[in-house]
Amino acid sequence: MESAPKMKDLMQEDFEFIKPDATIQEAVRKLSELDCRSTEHGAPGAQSLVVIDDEGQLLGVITMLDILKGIEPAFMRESTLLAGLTWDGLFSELIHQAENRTVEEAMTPAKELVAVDPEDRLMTAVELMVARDVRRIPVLDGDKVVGMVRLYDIFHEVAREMLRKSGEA
Amino acid sequence: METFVAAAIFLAAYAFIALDRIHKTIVALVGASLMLVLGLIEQQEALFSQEVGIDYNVIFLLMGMMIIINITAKTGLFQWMAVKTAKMSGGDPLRIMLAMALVTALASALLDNVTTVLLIAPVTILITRALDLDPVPYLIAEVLASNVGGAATLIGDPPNIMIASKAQLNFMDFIYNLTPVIIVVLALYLVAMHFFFRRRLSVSEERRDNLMQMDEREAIKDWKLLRKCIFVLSLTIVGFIIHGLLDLEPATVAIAGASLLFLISGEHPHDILRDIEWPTIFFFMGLFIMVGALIKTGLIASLSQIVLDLTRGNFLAMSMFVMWLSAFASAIVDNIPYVATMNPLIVDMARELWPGVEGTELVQHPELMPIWWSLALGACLGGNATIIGASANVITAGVSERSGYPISFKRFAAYGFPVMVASMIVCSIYVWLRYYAF
Repeated sequence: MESAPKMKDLMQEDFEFIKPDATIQEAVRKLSELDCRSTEHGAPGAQSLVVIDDEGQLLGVITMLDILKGIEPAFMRESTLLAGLTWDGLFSELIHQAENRTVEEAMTPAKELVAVDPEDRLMTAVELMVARDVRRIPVLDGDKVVGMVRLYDIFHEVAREMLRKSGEA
Repeated sequence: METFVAAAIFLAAYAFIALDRIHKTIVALVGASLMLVLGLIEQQEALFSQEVGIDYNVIFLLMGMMIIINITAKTGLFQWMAVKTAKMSGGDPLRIMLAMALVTALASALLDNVTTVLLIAPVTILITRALDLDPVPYLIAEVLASNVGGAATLIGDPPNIMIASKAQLNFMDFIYNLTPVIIVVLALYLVAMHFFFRRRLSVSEERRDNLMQMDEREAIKDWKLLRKCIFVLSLTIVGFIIHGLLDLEPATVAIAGASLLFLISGEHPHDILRDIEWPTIFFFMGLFIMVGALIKTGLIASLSQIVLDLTRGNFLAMSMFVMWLSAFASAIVDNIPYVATMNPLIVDMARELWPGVEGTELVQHPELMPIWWSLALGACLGGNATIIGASANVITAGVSERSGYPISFKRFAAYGFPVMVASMIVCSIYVWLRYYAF
């Protein structure tokens, strides 16, 4: 019987990096280039960048959502009733204010991230994705990032298993 | 010995509250527990005695109003009001500042100050953002106005609620005695702001358009609920106005209003009751128990004797002493524990002055009334002097800082301290003219 895949079998090793002192603008450029390029299974391009220092240590991850959070002004979070009360110029004003901030300011720092080990089984990733509502999990060997496991990669396994059992594979 | 222990616990609690290292609710509860465990006050008295126990009139009035406001806040009414006010001011930055301060003062007279600034501060930052103005002067202008407006009515600020309960005063007593001087203080405040900011604020045409583009109706999330809230809020205010005539306590009016709003709004109690500021409620309960122990051990009586000796039975001197002491004390410490301590002290003074008089006749002795009003004015308006002087100041500073606009102690005091001193001078003249000069 075939053994259940581990993280090291599922992870994507060609994930994209960015340095913490890069600007948000650079992160946005990189993400929009990657977004157009789809990967081997025809999965969508990267929606996040792994932030590492010069030694390859994980500092955090910056996602498209992190960039949106960096653009939204903090006072908007003080009241849920303000979102409708805006004006035309606000969006572009906020974007241009955010573009020169650093990636480090906007990223989700490593200590708030969930991560898996290359030897972890499939269920570990399933549990984390369901319980913590994340779509991409860094795979850490010690404190070095060796890959990323994405919702897509897990779904691919689900499809393989389910369709094989029902004889469609 | 008991007096000494009770005083030590109380002073330590005061110090911890002022230092703000441990949450004030925890400090009050630990202090109250110590008083109870050490037998400085019996639990029976702490929970049920009218003289030295928890004042449930204050507790239930606060809870009732919090329920009504929590439901009303969900409708977006306050955001609507703020944007409407700013747009009606035509985008003129000075007029916006004065109008928003006025609206905040009016809202604070009817709602708790903390609630008012929590609702008004974020939308103020949005408006100043549209106009590309520094929000800090606007926020300070509003919070000062909030503390002024709150002093006008029985329900406007917790010190007034506490004084009303202790002295058995009704809503209209506050309207007759405090509202007139607050109107004068507020008018002078707005005039002073006008002259101070006249040449300091400017806005471009393009920025004005940003404000005019904002659609205040977008803030209203639920028109049906809004109508129900306005109905119940109005009914509750009418209830406050006539509660003296109906012989109902203010807390009864607030709880009746809250239950009516629950009944007709269909809001789930679980959601609304969860948002009650339980830390504030428990802070009050802890304080009442601690102060109860102080009364029991005779410390309050000794303090009141000191005030009597200092003022030598001269009532004008006593009023002025209480007012200015309250103002400076409230600038440094939370005015809620301060008033909790002063209330029984004033009652004790009255007992010394008029032995044999009891009940309402004692707490509402004609010579005593100006002292209550002086306490209310000093405690409410004194909070304006510093950023830590009133809960509303602390809350506004927090919202401002989280939004990226920290307000320094110095910057706040530069506005607040002169406003506090000027308003105390106006109030002193008022108390002298109204109660002593003729």
